[in-house]
Amino acid sequence: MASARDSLWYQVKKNWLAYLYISPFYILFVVFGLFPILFSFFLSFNSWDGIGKMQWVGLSNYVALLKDRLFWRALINTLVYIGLITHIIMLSLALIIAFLINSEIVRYKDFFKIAYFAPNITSSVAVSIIFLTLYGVQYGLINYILQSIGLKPIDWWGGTGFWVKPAIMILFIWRWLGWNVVIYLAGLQSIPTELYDAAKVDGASLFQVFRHITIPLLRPVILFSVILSIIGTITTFDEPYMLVGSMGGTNNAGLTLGLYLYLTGFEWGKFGYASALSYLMFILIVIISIINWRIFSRRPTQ
Amino acid sequence: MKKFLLVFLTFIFLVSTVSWAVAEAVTITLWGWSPWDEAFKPILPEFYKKYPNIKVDIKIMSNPDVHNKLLTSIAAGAGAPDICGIEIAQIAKFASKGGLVDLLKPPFNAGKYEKIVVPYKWHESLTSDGRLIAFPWDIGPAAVFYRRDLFQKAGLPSEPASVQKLLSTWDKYIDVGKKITIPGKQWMIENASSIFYIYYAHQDFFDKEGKVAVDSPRALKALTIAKKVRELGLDAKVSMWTPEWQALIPDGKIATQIVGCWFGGFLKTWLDPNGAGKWGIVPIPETPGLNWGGSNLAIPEQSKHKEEAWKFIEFALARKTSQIAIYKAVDFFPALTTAWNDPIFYEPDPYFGGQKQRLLFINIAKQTPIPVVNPNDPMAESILMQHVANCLDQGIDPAKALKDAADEIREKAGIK
Repeated sequence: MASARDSLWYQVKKNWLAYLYISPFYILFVVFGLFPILFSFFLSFNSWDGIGKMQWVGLSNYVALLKDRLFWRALINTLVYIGLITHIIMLSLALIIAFLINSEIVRYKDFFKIAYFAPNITSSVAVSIIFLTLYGVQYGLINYILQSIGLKPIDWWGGTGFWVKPAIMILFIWRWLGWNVVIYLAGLQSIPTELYDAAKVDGASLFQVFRHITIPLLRPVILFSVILSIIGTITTFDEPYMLVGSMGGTNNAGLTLGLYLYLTGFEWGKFGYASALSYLMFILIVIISIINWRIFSRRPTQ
Repeated sequence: MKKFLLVFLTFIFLVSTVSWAVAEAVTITLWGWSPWDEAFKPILPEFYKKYPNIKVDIKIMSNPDVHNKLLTSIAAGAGAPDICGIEIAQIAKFASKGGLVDLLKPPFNAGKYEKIVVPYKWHESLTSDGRLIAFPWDIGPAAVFYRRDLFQKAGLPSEPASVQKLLSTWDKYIDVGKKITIPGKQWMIENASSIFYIYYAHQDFFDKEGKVAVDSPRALKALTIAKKVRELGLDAKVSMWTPEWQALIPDGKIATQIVGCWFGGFLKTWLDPNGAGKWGIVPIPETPGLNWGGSNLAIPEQSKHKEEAWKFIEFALARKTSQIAIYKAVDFFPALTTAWNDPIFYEPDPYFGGQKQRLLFINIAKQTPIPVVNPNDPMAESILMQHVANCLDQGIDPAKALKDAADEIREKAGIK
């Protein structure tokens, strides 16, 4: 029968060796990827402390989360401060740096590429400890410099928690700038040099080249980096955890969704609640990615 | 060549069968954090002599890893060790049924040790339904560690007996703080929140009936004192364990540190190893019977060698000579009261300027009341300390901060 021959199982049986070779990835994915994803979805409708019996609670984890002051604080911190502000600064900086490294006016390009990328491959814990030293209240290098030029020292972790956000943002930008620079560089190198040459012949300035050639042609790469950055932002954990601990410091100024997930799950032992939170984060990522995709995939005018 | 290979394989086969026959020994695994390998080193040779058929495999991980991995392996139903360390701050997480064996039941019958373990530690290790899920190891009687040299420089007495009088109340503590603190140079304490924290280190967030107790008069008093210390600028506003704190302590910029007795071991080994003679210890003003920290050993239900594991726990924790050896090695203060009559507790400690500091901690431990432990403690602690930080940093009224904390804990714990 022809239809049996075309069936999936027949094909699998016939090519079993090939499937065997590619199976390690799928087995690992099912165990460490798919199962946790499905199980945490199931967990999000339960109340569970990790040891005792699970108790079906329906949507009440989600309802409680939407009423939770700390959830909204974490959401705003993550989206507005670390998300929006940090990324506008970081991605524009990365684009400018990549453009400069790629342009003819910069020498030792490889040196700059490595220098900007190096922070990204260092351990986030080690980096955070170094930044903690910089941000020291009494002994910190930044406060020392401020005081020696006659300014008031910064109370990084105190007050209303105003300085907690910049502290995390600076560390975040420092760490992830190089990564975005490298992505943009790769994108820039795919832009044909003829376009630049033509612009030069027409007498375009560096800014005009940047505005009318680089940015429009880099659109897909920018979309890619923005979406990855958003996912990275919503799951931000290491940096604020090392700097201000799992409650996010005074006034919860540094509390991110990633931190709150860890806090509710692993410190407070509310695994159902934490799973519900992770699914809200997932929905959030999907929504924001769609919005981004809509904005950036519009065909450039002209 | 072929013949050689055959002989070789036969040899390997023989050796492996022989060693299979000899090694009937049971290996028990133990999870813990640094410096537990150092702690057990002095007692292991004797243990092996007594129980030649038991081997102990100690796995050192970071402290949060031990607890998280234990929790996941209990949830997964496999992968747990035979013995696992549990810090007192984390014990509430494991209090719900299942996962860890009740040591009061046969064949363990740990109940016979109740009268030789310091009462507050014993009760701290019990669940609300009366199970003992982890055997008490060490305790953290809390005290004020102070810098003799800073007291001297401020023209104050520096011997423990007179400093104890000098710091007998919190008002006096604040007066001394004003004399010692030099803004921007040296401070009375590293962070005002520590004054509050010592009253609520991992416990007493709820009362016996399970009602939230963080807005009690005791909490209000502690927070009012802490706020006064902050407003007078007596604290360095530095958090414990940060790199900055680790620099300020050995530099002699912090006059007092209010912590558990384990801090003495930290000072000697890594925090201020050159500080011999510069430190002294006195009880906490007004409320000397406080505790911060300590750990226990538990046996997971999954363990296939529960009896061997229990033999090791008994040998290490319920036996005076082992506890003294561990105390000498890593400064883990024994919860085992029978260990307290050892001569070491009556010896002057050269690091603390010849003070008999160990005796002081016995006295503190004897005065410590039985705490209330609740499964929601870890959550209550983080929410409470958050509101304490808000109160100190933003000048929120202490009573309001504590009420807010209590409301939020009630909401999150789902109680009225």
